[in-house]
Amino acid sequence: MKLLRWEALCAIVAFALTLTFILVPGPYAMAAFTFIAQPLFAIVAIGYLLKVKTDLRKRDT
Amino acid sequence: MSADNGPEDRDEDVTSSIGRREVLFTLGGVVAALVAGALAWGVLEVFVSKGHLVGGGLHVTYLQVVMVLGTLVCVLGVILCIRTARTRFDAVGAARKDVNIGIARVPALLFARLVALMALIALPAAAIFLANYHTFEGVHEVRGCASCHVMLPMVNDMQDPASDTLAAKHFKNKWIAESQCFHCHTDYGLGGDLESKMTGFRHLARYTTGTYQEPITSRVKFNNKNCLQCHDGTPKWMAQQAHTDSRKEIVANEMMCTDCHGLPHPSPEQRTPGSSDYSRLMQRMK
Repeated sequence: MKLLRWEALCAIVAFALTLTFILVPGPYAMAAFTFIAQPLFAIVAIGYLLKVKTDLRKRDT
Repeated sequence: MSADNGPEDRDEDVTSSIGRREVLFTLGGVVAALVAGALAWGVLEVFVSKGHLVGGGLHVTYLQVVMVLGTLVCVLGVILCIRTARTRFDAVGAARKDVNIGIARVPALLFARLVALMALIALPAAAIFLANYHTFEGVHEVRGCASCHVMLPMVNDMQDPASDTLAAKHFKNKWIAESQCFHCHTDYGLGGDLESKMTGFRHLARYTTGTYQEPITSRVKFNNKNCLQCHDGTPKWMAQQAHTDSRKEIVANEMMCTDCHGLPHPSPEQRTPGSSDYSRLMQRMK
């Protein structure tokens, strides 16, 4: 595993949207959390797990 | 817990700057998330159906706790993400250094990986849980419903002493002390069923994208259980012969409470832009 840059940057965007919704709840903040932040977190998790998997396979060989 | 082990560790902390490639990937991630959100909305539109069940309505107001915890989780998440974004794991591993975490010294690579796990999996999971809790349990207030302007006619009418709709009668007679919207629409809460959640998300997508028309109409049938949870079995309710005779039909939603008791909210005609009542009903809540 070399870098987790885009995953971390995506997570920062998602955290910012989540924080906005938690502090200033409203329909637009809720929509941003529901339809952008949550999928972003899922994409981040997938990207992270794929890199971990690649890393583990590399070590096995 | 501190990752810093004095000046010597700081000298060896292997970091690098963010390049154009990473920014492009991040933008790509945001676009992919938007597409995923749009797809989720599309699925909701396709699978929206009629008839829904009502759950127990878990009513716990720990809003302040959620706000404080959520803020901590998100701020910590951002800090750890920045650290993770600046870490070159292969270089950290090659350096073979230890990090003092207060109670022990751990290899720097292991520590960097733990930070990444926290930043990208553990804290996002916590943030999602807290924000979803906030979504389902933190929006019980009438003001929360009124934050979408299409809901203003319902809220304004409910608070109008001169109105005779069911919602207004419940409000002015103080039959429901607080969170009046939620008491009759408990299926939108955390204890409600999945279909209500999906419908709520669909409404949210419709509202925020402006893809709706006034007057709004409900595609899901109101469940009499929302009324029966308070009224069923009370002496006043049981004293009505019509209630006891038709109880089976009422419970099965074959006969609606509103069939006999009138409209719960202003009629679609009153809520249509241009109608004589529209401007009065659309006044912002004070």
